[in-house]
Amino acid sequence: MSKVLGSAPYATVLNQDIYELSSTQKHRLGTRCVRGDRAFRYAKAIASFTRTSTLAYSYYHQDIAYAAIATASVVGDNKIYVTVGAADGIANDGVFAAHSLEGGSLVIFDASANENMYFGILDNNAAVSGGTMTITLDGELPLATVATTYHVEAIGSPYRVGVGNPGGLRYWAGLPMRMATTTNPYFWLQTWGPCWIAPQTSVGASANHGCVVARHDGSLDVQDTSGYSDAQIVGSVMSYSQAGGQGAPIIMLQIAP
Amino acid sequence: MDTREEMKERCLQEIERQDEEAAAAKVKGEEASGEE
Repeated sequence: MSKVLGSAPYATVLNQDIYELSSTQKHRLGTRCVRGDRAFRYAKAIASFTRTSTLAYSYYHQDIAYAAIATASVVGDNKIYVTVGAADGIANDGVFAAHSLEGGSLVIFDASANENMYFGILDNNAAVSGGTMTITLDGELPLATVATTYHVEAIGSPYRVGVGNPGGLRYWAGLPMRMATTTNPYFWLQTWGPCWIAPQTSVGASANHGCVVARHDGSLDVQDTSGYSDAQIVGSVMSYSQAGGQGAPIIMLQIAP
Repeated sequence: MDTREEMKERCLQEIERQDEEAAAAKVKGEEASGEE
């Protein structure tokens, strides 16, 4: 347990310090903590890290692809019921463990009036392909009925992460504060604010080279580097050298404030 | 002791090495499981 100072006029008490690893989960995945200019999210390493010098990526692809509503819900409900697809889930096998979508997000497509709805996910029960999964939302449904003609797309928490090369096909979630392992997988990711991330040689090396993107391996490069012009923008250079070249450089990370 | 530039270069080389190692392990795993 620790107190976080500088985040606000009062102290925030955490069950697990920003620089601490844990074998057990002490906060909900995605729990947000702020210390001065820096923001953090509580995260879980899916595979052991080999470095903390690069960004960590959201480990899984989309969890639920355009699933049909199995049983209707009505206004005020905070639960929806979806039919699990054969290729849904983290292993593409239609299997969902209980609570595996905690901290995720979803969209409900309104089939009647195009009034789509967007929620965070608090929880889910275990389910398999063809079965019905109950998803608990972080709010109450505003429409009279979520009918069986409606559909849902969903992701689990983006803070289930890995370090390495996801081949340019994953979201970069933040910078690990510790070398998490599968034995001690719970840790904090920095998602906003000043930090250092391994820079390629062009980053902040000359005039107007301040916008940085994440490469396939989680290191940083400038946006106009071949192959990375459409890569995820993750921040800006805060520090050039006195001569106008590449400093450290310290980066203003800008993923999730 | 490394200069700052040497430290950054070493860091990038290590990242590249880890990527190659992971790619080689993946190929090996696919060969072992009979995947193409």
